[in-house]
Amino acid sequence: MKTTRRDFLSKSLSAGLALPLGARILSGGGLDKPGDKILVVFQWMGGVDILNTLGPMGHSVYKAARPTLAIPTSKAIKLASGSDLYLHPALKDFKALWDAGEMAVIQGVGYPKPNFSHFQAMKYWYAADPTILNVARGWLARYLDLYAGGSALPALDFQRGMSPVFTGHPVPVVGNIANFRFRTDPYTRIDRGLEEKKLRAHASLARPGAHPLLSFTAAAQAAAFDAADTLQKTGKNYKPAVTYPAGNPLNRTFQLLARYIIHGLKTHVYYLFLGGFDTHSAEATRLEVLLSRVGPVIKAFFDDLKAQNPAAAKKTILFQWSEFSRRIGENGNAGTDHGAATCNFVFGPSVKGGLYGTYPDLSKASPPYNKANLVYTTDFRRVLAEIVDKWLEGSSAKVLPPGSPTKHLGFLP
Amino acid sequence: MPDSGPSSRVVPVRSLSPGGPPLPAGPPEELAPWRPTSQDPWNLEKAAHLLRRTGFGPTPEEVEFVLALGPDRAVDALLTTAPHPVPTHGTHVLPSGEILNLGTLAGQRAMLLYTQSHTPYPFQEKMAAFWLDHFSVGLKSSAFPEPMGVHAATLRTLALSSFKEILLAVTKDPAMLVWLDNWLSRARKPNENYGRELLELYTMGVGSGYTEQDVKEASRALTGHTLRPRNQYYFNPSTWYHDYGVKTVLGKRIYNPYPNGAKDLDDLLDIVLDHPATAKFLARKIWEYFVYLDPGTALVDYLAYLLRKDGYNIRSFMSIVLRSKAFYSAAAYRALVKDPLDYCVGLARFLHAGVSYTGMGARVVLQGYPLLNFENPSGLPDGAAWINSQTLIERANYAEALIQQGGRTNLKATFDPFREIKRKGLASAAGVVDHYLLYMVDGKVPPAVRSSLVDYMNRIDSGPRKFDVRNAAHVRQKVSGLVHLIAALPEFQMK
Repeated sequence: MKTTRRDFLSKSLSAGLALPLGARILSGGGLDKPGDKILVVFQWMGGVDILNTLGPMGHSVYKAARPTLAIPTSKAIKLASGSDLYLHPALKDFKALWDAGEMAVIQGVGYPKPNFSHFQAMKYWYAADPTILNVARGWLARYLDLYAGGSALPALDFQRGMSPVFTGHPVPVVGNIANFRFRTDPYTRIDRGLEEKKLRAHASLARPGAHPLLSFTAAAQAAAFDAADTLQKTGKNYKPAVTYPAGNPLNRTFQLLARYIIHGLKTHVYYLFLGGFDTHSAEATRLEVLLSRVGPVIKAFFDDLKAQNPAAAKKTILFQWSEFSRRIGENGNAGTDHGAATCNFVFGPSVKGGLYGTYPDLSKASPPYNKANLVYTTDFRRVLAEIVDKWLEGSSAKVLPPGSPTKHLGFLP
Repeated sequence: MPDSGPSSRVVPVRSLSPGGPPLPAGPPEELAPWRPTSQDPWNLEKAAHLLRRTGFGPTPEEVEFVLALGPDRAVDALLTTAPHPVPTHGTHVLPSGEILNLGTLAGQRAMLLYTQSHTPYPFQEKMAAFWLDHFSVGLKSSAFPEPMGVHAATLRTLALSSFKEILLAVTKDPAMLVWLDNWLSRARKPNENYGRELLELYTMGVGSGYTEQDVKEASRALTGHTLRPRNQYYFNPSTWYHDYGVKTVLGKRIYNPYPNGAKDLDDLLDIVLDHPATAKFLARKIWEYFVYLDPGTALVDYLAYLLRKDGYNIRSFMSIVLRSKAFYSAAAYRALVKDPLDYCVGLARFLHAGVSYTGMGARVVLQGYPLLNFENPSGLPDGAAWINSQTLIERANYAEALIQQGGRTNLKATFDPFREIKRKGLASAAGVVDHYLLYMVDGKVPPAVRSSLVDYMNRIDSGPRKFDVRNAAHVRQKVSGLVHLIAALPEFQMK
């Protein structure tokens, strides 16, 4: 019988998570201490059109496959002399990071037998396993199982907890920090302290024989009280040292991230999420809007870290992924349908900037291009393995499923 | 006079293979009708359980009414519906004076929450909420939210009809046509977005036996369903719009020569509904929404058989589910997490609170429910995924805003803390605590919670002065705080 995510949850919950978070970490988990490096994961949901983000825009197949969507090389940004790759015109900040040697691109990332369902493809990435049906345990959850030792807040999720990458771990989810505190005192201010004490006490009570979901809820509530305190206090007086792009809806999240990293929150993994890349129609506008948001904010974020805490900046990388790319040719709606293989971007002052792996060869594609897919050249687990081994100071052999290709590509020091 | 309304009309599924897959060995015991016994009587806890699952949370009076009605007549009443149109366009004033502009998403959300709070047919509304989640449509452009109101109205009208009728309507629904791009799909270049999700998310489920080729062929069969300006659905039978070639889906042929391309949809749905995976997928999903998570394979097989046997009629299927032993079993009791609608609508209903439904809409979104504007077509998270530090904080803070006197928050809430004390003649701190625990969490909490709450009541102004039910200041201060503390309990997050 297959193990569903919930099977797993029920079992793991009754096994350990029913304890308050802190107690569980001290008694279970902590086999190893994590390093002091910070990983920011930035998921682009929907399947980014990599060809129009970073692609060989001068290639004859590209131009033939995209009568309305092709970006002319005169408008695109040439990545480097000697490379045939061009960045989308909205990505001049990526180009600046590239020129500074702070952007690595892993090309042609994918896995055998591409799955064209968003949800299934995302599950493969969450589990680091392109064969599963359901995510029993996310790769970051497995990492936290082994290496979260001693840290009260090993990971923070800024993406509303929708992703099973942390399945099994009550990783706090922070949407809006201004609201991240329990309000009390309904009628007169006088009961505030009393109510707060009661709220905490009720969540922490033992509930023997309770349904696992109820135990989980109580544990998550107790954890929320602790997290709320720490997250309110850390970096309370943070001010951005650089100008973030005006009116960019991603500013709030990236400034919060900067605040915690600059002010030394003991958190190793942050998870960010951006949707909207599923550009079946009106792609030109939709992709431009998204890329003109992510480019400037990533640049501003690293500039902010460097200005306020250069040491922390050196310890931070941002890893971008999307569940797949899109077809080589456009569809009839000025958009592109679900495809295969993509590129990963990795940013940070410590990253070894450059191109890794090989870009899928467009010359091998044949018409009809709206049915043709990029063919992967680099197994995505190799990227994850290098992050686990060389950045998170863990062991990919323990974190990734057995038999995963783990040969490093060399983009991390 | 309420009757079963337009939704009793059932579109037949023509080609269901006789009997469907081989029948499992007899109905499982847990699907037999539950009958009260002296050891396991019909009581307040069971009445409240039924109402938590079939509506958005009962008032104390509703629990008492259903307790008196008994389980069978209660389910009969819940399954009865009548047409009750809800506005989808224009500006409307609620009885409270709140003005809703249905040309905004906030207005549409408020109208839906108002309907969920005040409908005479809560189960129909709950089932409509299930379908809203099942199809999880979002807005491509927030400039035109009216189609989402129409979408919700369609699912409300058809909530208890047949699955085929619902699929037919949703395929032609302007909000869905835009959401998954099918209105743009043309014969020459079919857009696969809707065809793929129809198989993967709405009927069969991922990995259930269809292929990439089936997705492509289904998408061809779905061409031609498009929109006129102002979001009016029509089928365009021209060969430019509809692909008239032969399609083969799941090994079955679809062919309707010009100008009968619209019939492809009917044929496609019959093929998909006939596939055993579809009945299992839907039966499991409904079960997990209304009863408990992870039903066993044998149970799902039998539920799927029942669903198919009645041509996917939802009303008759739910009639079996809601009367079953499993529904009232320990495995089902408090085994699901309230979603933000249950939490927000339910608590306001329980208190008979006056609220701004626009404010409630904003709170529901903060608790993780992108009401009427889903971000991805896979729908809502299940079980534990509702629960995280942010959503728990938002829930407790919603309760806190609800019991504030004087409307200082966007909820503009009013509630009468004397209501239950007067109605029930409650006379002491312990009496008040026990009453609220009984009606909010079936009185089932760790004993230390009860004593802690009695202690809370008896610390007037945080001091040692005892609660006096005749003292209006005591009641205002402490009953409000008591409701907040109970609403924040882990037990109150369950349904």
